[in-house]
Amino acid sequence: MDYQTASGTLHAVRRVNLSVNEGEVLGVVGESGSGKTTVALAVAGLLPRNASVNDSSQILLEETNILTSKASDIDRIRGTGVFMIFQDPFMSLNPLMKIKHQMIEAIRVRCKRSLEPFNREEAEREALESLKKVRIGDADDIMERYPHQLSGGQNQRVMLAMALVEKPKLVIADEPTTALDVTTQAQILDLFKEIIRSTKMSMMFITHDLAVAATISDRLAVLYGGMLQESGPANEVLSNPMHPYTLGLIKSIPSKTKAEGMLEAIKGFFKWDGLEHMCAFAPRCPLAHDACFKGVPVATVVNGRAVRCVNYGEQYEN
Amino acid sequence: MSLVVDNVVKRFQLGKKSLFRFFSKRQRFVTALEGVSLSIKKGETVVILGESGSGKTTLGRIIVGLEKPDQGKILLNGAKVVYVRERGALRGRLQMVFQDPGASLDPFQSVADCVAEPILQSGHKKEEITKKVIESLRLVGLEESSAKRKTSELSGGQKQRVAIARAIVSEPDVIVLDEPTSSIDVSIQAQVLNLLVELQRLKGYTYVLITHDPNVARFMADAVAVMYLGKIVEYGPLSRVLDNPKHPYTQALLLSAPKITGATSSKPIQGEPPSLINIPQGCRYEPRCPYSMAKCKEKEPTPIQIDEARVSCFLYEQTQL
Repeated sequence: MDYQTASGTLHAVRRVNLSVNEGEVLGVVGESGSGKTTVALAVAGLLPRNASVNDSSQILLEETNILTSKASDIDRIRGTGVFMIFQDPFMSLNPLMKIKHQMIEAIRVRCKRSLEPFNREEAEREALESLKKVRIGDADDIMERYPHQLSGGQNQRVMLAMALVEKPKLVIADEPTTALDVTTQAQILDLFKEIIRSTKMSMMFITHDLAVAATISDRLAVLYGGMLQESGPANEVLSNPMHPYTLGLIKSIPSKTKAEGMLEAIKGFFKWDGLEHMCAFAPRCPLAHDACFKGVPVATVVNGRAVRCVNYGEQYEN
Repeated sequence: MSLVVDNVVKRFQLGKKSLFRFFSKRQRFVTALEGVSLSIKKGETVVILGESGSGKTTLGRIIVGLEKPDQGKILLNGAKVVYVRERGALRGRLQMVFQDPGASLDPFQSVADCVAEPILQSGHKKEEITKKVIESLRLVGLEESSAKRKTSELSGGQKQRVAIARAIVSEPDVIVLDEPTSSIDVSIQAQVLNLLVELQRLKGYTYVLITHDPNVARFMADAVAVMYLGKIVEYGPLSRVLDNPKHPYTQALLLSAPKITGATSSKPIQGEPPSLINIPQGCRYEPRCPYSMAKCKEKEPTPIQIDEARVSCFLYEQTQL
């Protein structure tokens, strides 16, 4: 997947293979520039115009390939198939519409797409019920309010309530708790878990915070430099990280006092230059050796987990 | 040699710039800080831990003199800190590093100009200024070659290093760090935190670190002050506050922080902080507190000394008698 930019082509995401099963939460972890949001936008069919996707790529939602479908088909998929929750709920809600009307609109769209009859009173009742399900305080009152009258946490709950009425197969949540306070974040994560358990929706949870991902994910995918570096069951990836980048991320979370010694930071910072023909993490890796710079390592499967590192077998992509 | 925050109160008037201000009958205020007191020894770090709306950033701005307190005062080594625009301001003795270096640095300025800004008016010669700039860039781990680049060409972590270099160039006593790592990547955060600790050991700076992240607090702090709705609810040495929290809010805050092991608290704290305009009567945390008693609804708790810490909660009142 490439972005055409003023200064040439940027390979934002390369050779990423992901799958989410029904009722599963896949945590996608990566820092800025890792391509995590690009992956999310591609799945939702929301890529900007300057983005182009390689012909051999495919994104399958059940049987439909999102990349080759017509715009009208994608419209059907979006909402009822894929629902996206963004970092800033204020940006995704219409500031001039009452919550009630936005919720009803979501239900109307669902009805239209799934060819159900639409009834306004019923829709209003359903909207209220959905708001109650996301444990928003005083749901009747919230229905009559505008987004700016609600707090960030409440708005994010409204977004989730909207996701519930759309009944999508997959919810993509792009950093949904980053803009929230720690205590609100804990509430929202708790709510996400409960909803996933009760509705069997699948979720792609995108975050830069390994600890947040650890709380909610069943499986983890760690992205760096536009490539999948490691993936596997969340607890295994975190308790026994195989890729040096994952290990570095875990170690750089402060867990001690300054009297106990310095943090083990990953050196340097991320640069796009020259990453085409080597391991993307090699310039910053503490274990880097000659083999790392020879080519892009293949994703080796070790004990059911995929790792893109030459230390687990010296093989390169061609 | 120390920094003292003495009983600071700060109120912001609502609708002060509103077109209808002359028609409104009563003035309404937001009380951002209500009687905040702290004291910090030289070379130590006090962490202000709290959520948005707790008043932690306002406190930071008052400490460096960017805001005037309505009551109370800030003392640096016994001298009163005055609002920056007034005579007698302690220029260069107190510095601040802001949350988002992308916003706090001028994108069209070169790194060298940007870092030199605090000492331009100090009466130093041009060569001296250049020397000081290069020295502070070296201290924050930036190469001399980066001095000519525009700040907008740098990565997030590098920008924050420039912001730190700008703060230390005037050789201040106190640096207020307002969420210095919350806008940069996790892999860079550790580098910046390490750098701050090294600089403190080398130069003996006093830090006031504002953060919402208990992990960052644990690494940086000597003392921790937990704020909730404009008041300090618990204040004491690092080990006491973070390892053995007494106030129900501190306990809830520490349990809410996500852990890498994936283990979460059985039940997250309920509700949301009430509005600062209509602060509940009685204890501010009472509406969300699981230990709420009748007394909590009626009056506000006064700070109680437990071990070396100060806790504002009625739960511990008996233990003192």
